[in-house]
Amino acid sequence: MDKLIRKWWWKILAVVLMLYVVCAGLLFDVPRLVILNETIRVLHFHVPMWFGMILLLLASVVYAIKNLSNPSPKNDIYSLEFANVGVAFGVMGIVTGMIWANFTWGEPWSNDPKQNASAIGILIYFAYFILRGSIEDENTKARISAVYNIFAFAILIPLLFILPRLTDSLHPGNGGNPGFNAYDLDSKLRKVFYTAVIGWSLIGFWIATIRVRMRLVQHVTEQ
Amino acid sequence: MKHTLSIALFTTGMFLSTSLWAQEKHKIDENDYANQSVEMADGFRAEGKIYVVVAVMVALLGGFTFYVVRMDMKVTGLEKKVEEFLQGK
Repeated sequence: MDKLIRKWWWKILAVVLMLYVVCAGLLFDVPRLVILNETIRVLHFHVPMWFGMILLLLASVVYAIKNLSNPSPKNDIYSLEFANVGVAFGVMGIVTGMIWANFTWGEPWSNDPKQNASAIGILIYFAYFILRGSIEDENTKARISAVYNIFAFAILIPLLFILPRLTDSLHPGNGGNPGFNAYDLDSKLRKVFYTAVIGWSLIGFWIATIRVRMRLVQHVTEQ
Repeated sequence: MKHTLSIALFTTGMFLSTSLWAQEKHKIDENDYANQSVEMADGFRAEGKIYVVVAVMVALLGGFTFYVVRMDMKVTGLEKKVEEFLQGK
């Protein structure tokens, strides 16, 4: 990992993929669907925020577990910064979702189960940063926030992937909503969408690793 | 390496399973692409104005990329400085 975060190839790949996503996402033919109309293209920009967030938060919890079994400032820094960028992705997911919902569902916030659940999930992670800020001792901070991180991720998964499915939701694939039926992506949309997921996630990891490296330098100079 | 593999498997499994739970999905087919009754930005595209939007977004992407690359390089420089300092000590 230490070597990989200083390599250029995957950063170049991220930019190339994003270039493709912007061009193809705006120019390629899309299915003409009622309610969605041209906004179906938001799919390539809104949904990857959530995929990116989950991947970054997963990386964060992996480093939290690592930090518990093998405490080191490095593991703690990785865990913190992955969570940091992950939450930023989540906030952008909520904002872009609200703009999209205003057009398709008629209002930015319709108390949709998935909207509420993701907002709660983000708030749980906000508490993670507050918790960190409230502990002076570095070792205690690292240990307690690692434990909290595991709990936060463990509650986030049912919040986003299970609870919204148990009830009616406006989101595709959740419950049965007659106003906006769930559409199954076809191969044309998938091609751009999966590229967007990989591209956006790599961008997220890139920004996170820069923050990690800054903190590592800071940590060394403070010693 | 083993850990990375199991994490990768777990993640892909998680995402794949979400599609299994989905109920009664409407399959998008060729008819949806040809459905002229749904209003799309056809005129806007025919006039080539969409390329203005593409150009703006590519420019933004390029600008932000430049910015992040500069940050990356700056951190690399700092890391080198710290390393040299530690070796000199």
